[in-house]
Amino acid sequence: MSARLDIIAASAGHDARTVLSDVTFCVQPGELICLVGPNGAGKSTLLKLAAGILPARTGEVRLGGQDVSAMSARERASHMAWLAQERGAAWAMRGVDIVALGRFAHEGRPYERLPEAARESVNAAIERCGASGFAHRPVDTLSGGEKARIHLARPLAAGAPLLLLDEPLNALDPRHQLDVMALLRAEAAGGTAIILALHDLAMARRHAARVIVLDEGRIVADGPPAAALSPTILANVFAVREAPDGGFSPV
Amino acid sequence: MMPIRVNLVMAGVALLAVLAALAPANGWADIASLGQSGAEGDLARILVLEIRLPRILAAFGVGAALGLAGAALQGLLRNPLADPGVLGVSGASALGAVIAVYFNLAALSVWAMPGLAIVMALGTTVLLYVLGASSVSTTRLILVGVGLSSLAGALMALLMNLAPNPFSLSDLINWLLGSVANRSWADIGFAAPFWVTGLVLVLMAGPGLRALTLGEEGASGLGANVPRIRLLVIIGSALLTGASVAIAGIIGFVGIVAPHVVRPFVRHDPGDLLLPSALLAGTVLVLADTAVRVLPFAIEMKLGVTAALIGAPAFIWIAARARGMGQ
Repeated sequence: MSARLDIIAASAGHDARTVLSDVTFCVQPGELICLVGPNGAGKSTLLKLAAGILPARTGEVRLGGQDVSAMSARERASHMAWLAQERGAAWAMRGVDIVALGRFAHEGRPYERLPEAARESVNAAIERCGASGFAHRPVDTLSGGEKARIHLARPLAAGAPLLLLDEPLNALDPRHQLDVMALLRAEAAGGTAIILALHDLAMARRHAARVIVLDEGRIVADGPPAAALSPTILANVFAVREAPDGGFSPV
Repeated sequence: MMPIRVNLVMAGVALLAVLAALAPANGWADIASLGQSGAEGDLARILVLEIRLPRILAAFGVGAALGLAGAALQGLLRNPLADPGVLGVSGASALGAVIAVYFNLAALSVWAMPGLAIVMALGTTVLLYVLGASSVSTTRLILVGVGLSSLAGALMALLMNLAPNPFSLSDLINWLLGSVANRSWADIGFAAPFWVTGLVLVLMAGPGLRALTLGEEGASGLGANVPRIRLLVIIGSALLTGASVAIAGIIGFVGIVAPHVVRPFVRHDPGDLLLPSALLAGTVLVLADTAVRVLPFAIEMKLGVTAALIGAPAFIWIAARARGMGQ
C-alpha cells in the first residue's frame, strides 16, 4: 500500500463539540508537511483523524485508496505511526521497551524478545534520536527532553510509510530541535510521508516544503511556506506580524 | 528470557509452599502412612488427601485468581491500586452470596450461593462495561466501580442490620470474614472451570496491556484493539473474582500487593506481570492459611482477617508512594 493519504471533506470532534469541519487535503509519499495553527485550531484532532483513532463524522479518510475506518487497528498501525502530544507512560518501563511498542502492529513484545531485525530497527531509531545513552533506563528517571527523544524514536522504529507527529519538538532544546528536523527531512527524502504539528512558525517556514494552516477547525491555507504564512494569514489567524528583528510581534 | 525465569522461580516457590503446607503438626507422619493399608493408612489418606490438600489448593486458587485479576485490572486502568475490590466486583459478588445465605436459598440448591456470587460478579462487570466503557475514559470506569462497591457494602450492611436472629447474623459475618477452611474437592471442582477460563481470557489480553502503557488512544494508535482488551480483562477478572468469592468469601488486598511486589522483577511490563503475580498471590495465601491453621488460638483466625491485617498496611504504603497514578 502506498503512503498516499486522502482526507476528503472530513469533519470530526469530541462529544457534542465539532472541532474540524470540511477538511480536505492529500499527502504524497516523501512529503514533509508542517501543520500550524493557534491553540485549539484542531491540529491534534486532525492528526488523530488521519491516524484513524478518531472517526470521521462526515467525509472520509483514505490511506492508499482504502477507507481507514474499514481497516483494523493493527492494519492501520502497520501503515502509519502516530506520536501523541502527551508523552505519558503509565509504568516505569525502560526506554527500549517504550520504543519497542512502536513495533506493536508487527510484534507486541518487549525489547529483549523482539526478533533480531525488529530489534535492529528499534536500536537504529534510538540511535538516530540520540537516545542511546539513556534508552536502558526506566522512563520515569529521564528528563523531559530525554523522554521526548525516546517517544520520538517509537514511531520511527515502526518503519511505517506515514508518520503523524504531534509537536515532536516539545521539551527539546534548540539544538535537538534542529537535529530532529534534519532527521525528519532525511526520512522524507527516503520516501516517508510526514505530517507534524508545530507551534514554531519560523521552524515551519525554514524546514517544510508545504505548510497547512488550521484555524477554528478549517484549513485556511495550504501551500509553500511563503504563501501559506503570508502577512495576511499571520495577522488574521495568529494575530502577529513579522518584526524587523526576524521574530514576531503582536498585531 | 526473563519472564520465563521469573515464572519458573515463582512456580518452584509455590510448589514448596504447597508441600510445606501439607506437612505441619504431625504432617510428615501422615504422609509417610499414606501408602499403608488398614485403618491408619485410611485415616492418613482422609486427613491429607480429603481435608488438607483441597484446603491448600483452594487457598492457592483463590490467591492466584485474585492476584491475576488485580494485575490485569491494574494494566487495564493503568493504576497500581486497582483490583477487583476497587471496581466493586468483589463487593457485588459478596452481596450475591450474602443474599443467598440470608434468604436461605441454599435450601433450594447447593449451587445457589456460588452461582449467585458469580452471576453478581458478571452482572456488575457488564453494568460497568455499559456505563463506563462506552466512553474512551477509564476514569469513569473507576468512579462507577467505586459507587457500585459502596452500594454493595450498604446493601450487605442492610441485610445484616435486619438479620432476624444472632445465628443468621453470625453466619453472614463468619462468611464475610473469608476462609478456605473445610473446602472440599467439590468446591475446587466448581471453581476450577471459571478460574481456567478467566486465566485464558486475561492472558490473551497480555500484549494489549503492554500497549495500554501509552494510554487508550496511544494503544489504539499502536494497533491494539482497545475494546477487545477491555472486554477480555473485565470478563476474565469477573470469572476469577466471582469464583473466588463463591468459595472463600471476601479476601482483600492480595490482588494489589502481589503485582506490586512482582513488578520490578518483570521490568514493570504489564503483560509479563500477569502470571508471576498469580503465582505469588497463590503462594502468599497458602502460607497465610498455613499460619492460620497452626497458630494456637482457641478460635481459628479467618484467612480473610489475616490477609487484611498484612495487606491493608501494605496497601497504605503502596498508595502513599504511588506517583502519577493513572497517567
